[in-house]
Formats: sequence, structure tokens, C-alpha cells
Amino acid sequence: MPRTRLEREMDTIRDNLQEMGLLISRDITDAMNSLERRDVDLAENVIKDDKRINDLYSDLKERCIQTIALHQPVARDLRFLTIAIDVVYNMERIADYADDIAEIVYYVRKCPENMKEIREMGVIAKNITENAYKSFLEKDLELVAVVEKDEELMDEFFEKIFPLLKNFVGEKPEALTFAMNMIMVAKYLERIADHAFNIAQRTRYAVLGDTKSL
Amino acid sequence: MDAVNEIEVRNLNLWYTDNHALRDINLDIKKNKITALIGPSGCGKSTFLRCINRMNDLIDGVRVEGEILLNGNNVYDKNVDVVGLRKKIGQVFQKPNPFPMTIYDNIAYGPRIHGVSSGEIDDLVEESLKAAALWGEVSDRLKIPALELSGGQQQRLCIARALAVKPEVILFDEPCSALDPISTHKIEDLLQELKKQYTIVIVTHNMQQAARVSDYTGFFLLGEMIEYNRTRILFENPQKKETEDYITGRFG
Repeated sequence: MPRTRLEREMDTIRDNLQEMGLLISRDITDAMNSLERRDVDLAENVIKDDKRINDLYSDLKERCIQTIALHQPVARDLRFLTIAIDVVYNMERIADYADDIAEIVYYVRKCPENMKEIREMGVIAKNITENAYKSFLEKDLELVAVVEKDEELMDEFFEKIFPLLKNFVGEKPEALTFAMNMIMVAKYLERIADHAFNIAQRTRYAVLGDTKSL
Repeated sequence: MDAVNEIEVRNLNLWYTDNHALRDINLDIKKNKITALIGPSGCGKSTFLRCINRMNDLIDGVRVEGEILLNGNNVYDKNVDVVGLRKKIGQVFQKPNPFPMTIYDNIAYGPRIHGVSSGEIDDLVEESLKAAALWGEVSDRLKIPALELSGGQQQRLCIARALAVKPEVILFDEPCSALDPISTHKIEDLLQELKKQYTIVIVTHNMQQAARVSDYTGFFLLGEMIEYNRTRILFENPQKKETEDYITGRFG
């Protein structure tokens, strides 16, 4: 089989991207669990992971650039490698938001409240992230459609969060700190969905070569 | 595909005796654009190139059917003057092939044959060497033998020689395959200048070169033209599986 070395490089990139995806998806779950349980140790783990994810991001980006420079790929290989750079960038941003959510745990440690809508948004954030990077790795346009739908769902939740928190604080003024931090968390989760959406759009280009998705 | 057609190829078939080497080729070659032809060895791309200026007429046993219209006139019409045709459609070959004479005479040879007066030839030599981006390197030694030039300079001399007879189209058959990367880039830059005045068709094995220099690319395989598209599309998102397999190196 010709171009074995290029194939091998792309397989390594796929494997590393998968590893990065698994790590980020776990971090989103851990960040949301640490928030719900006010578990500072778990939050600390998420924050520590961020460094590893940043390293994975730098390595992957460099490997993609090197592969392009050394192997001069075209067509589907070129689309895969250029879009992989975009995908890992968006994944790194998602990881940053998971890290931001974990940091909120320190600010709400003494608040007893929880909100089921935030929990549900957390579940969407984890699923959308997993589906996004898997859609790219598996060239799966059906998963792309799922991501697009979930992004809309996330937006709907985000729209609901403000009035909900306003009412919440109206009834329970002592929950102001909690509510303000939940606005931040909701924003971070909504941004995670935006980055996952970006990955899905780039996947459309990688699979179909449709430049409108760029 | 919006530019004006300089050459229109219609249902072109070619046989080398019993070997059906080109099969139903149809394409429009755009004026003032560079069209690259790619494909594995033996796919018919050079054979096709030689059909355009009827160089295949020189090979025994060749039979051609179909039409190649140069600005609407079929180059295979019986009354076509083949010498006049090759004046309109110049060719530059794989290996630089200057005549064993001076730089000046290499350029002057064609125009003299076509009856250009000796008074005009000096200007024509200078103009052609300038257009081929060689004047600055040879203007003070026009009387030295052309074979003393480097390979890259010789190839640009051959381009200047082709330009001197004022063609409309220039065919390049692997013009850089015998050249080093610097000479190659000089020729590639030159092609971008030349296309402002001429229509260019280039056969190349170097796909990166096709991607770098051309506006349109045709992919040939086993005598058929599998895909013809804007170069950007052909290399970014080819429409045919065979093209994708070939350009990504997963062929065969």
C-alpha cells in the first residue's frame, strides 16, 4: 500500500485525538459532579488535567503541521489534517471551560443549592463534546446532525436560565452568590456546545469537502 | 468554467495501430489559463498533448478520430497546414533541446524560417528572451553556444525560442523534470507571466507542480479523462474516486 507513512501518521493523530476527547469528556463529567457535590478534590483533578490537555493540543497541532509539510497530502488527507488542527483547537477550548467550571466549585462551596437545569446542561455538554469529536474521527454525518440539534437544545436551556435564576434570587436573596456563579457555569456550558458545533461543521467539510461549512 | 475556450476537444480517440490509447476525450481548454494534465505513466496524457499540435502525425500507425477545435477550426481538417499549426501551437519538451548554435541563432531560427526580416530579428530576440526571463542572464553573451548554458537556462531558452514565432498556445511536456528546484521555480513563475498572453497546457508527473501552477487540471487514466475540474477543486475535493485514489497515492 503506498503512502504507508502518511497513513501511520494520520492513525497516530486519530489515536491522540481520541485520547484527548476521552480526557475532556471525563473532565466535563467530573467538573459537573464536583460542582454538584462541592467536591474540591475532584475539581482539583479537572484543573490538573488541563495542563495535560494543553500539552496534547500542542503536540497534535505540531504533528498535523509536520505531516502536512513532510507528506504534502491532498484531497481527503489534506482536509483531515487541516481540519484536525481546527478540531483540536476547539477541543482545547472546551477543556478550558471544563476547567473554568471546576474553579467555580471554590466559590460555591458554602452554597447548599443545586439546579436541575444546570445539571441537564452539563449532560448535554458532555454528550455534544463526545459526539462532536467522534463525528470527526468516524466521518459520521449522522452524529454531526445530532450535535447540531443538541446545540439548539443548549441554546434553549441557556435562554431559560436567566429568568429561572432571577426568580430563584427573588425568592431566596441569600442565594445570590450561587445564582451569579450559575450564570457563569451556564455560559461556559453554552460555549462548550458552540465549540462542539464548530467541530461538527468542520467535520462536514472534512467528509464532503463542502467549503460552506468552513 | 467561465473563461473563453481557446481549444475544444470533441470525442477524440486515438489508436496506435490496434492499441486504443485515447478514448472519447472531451474538454475545453481555456484561453489565458494554465491547464495541467496529470496521470500515471502510459495514461495517454502526453499522447493527448501531442494531438493538439499534431505531433502524433509523425508516428507510424497512429489513427485519430474526433475533433480538436482551435478557435473554432478543426486542427485535423484535411486542408490544415501543419507547419502553420505548429507555429500557432508551440511546444517545450521534457529535456531542454537547444539547437547546437548560438543563443541568438536559437531564437532567430524560427522567425527566419517564417520570413521575418533580419532588421526585426534583434528586437524579437531581446523581446523573447525577456519574456522567458532569461535576458538579464545572457544579454551580454548572445553569441556563445546555447549548450554552454545551465539546464534551467537552456529550458528557458527553449521557451524563448517557442515564443519567438508568436504562438497562441504553448504545450509543455514535463518541462521541469530534468531541472533542479530553483530552475523549476523560475519556470513556474515564468508560466504565471506567460499565461497573460498565451494559453498553456502542461503535462506533469509532479502533482504539487500541477497544483501550484495550473488553473484547471485533467486527470487521465488508461486513455480516458476521468476528471477535469478547476485545480483547486480537483486537489481539495475531487469528484471521482479514481482521482482521489491517484492524487492521495492510494492507487493500484
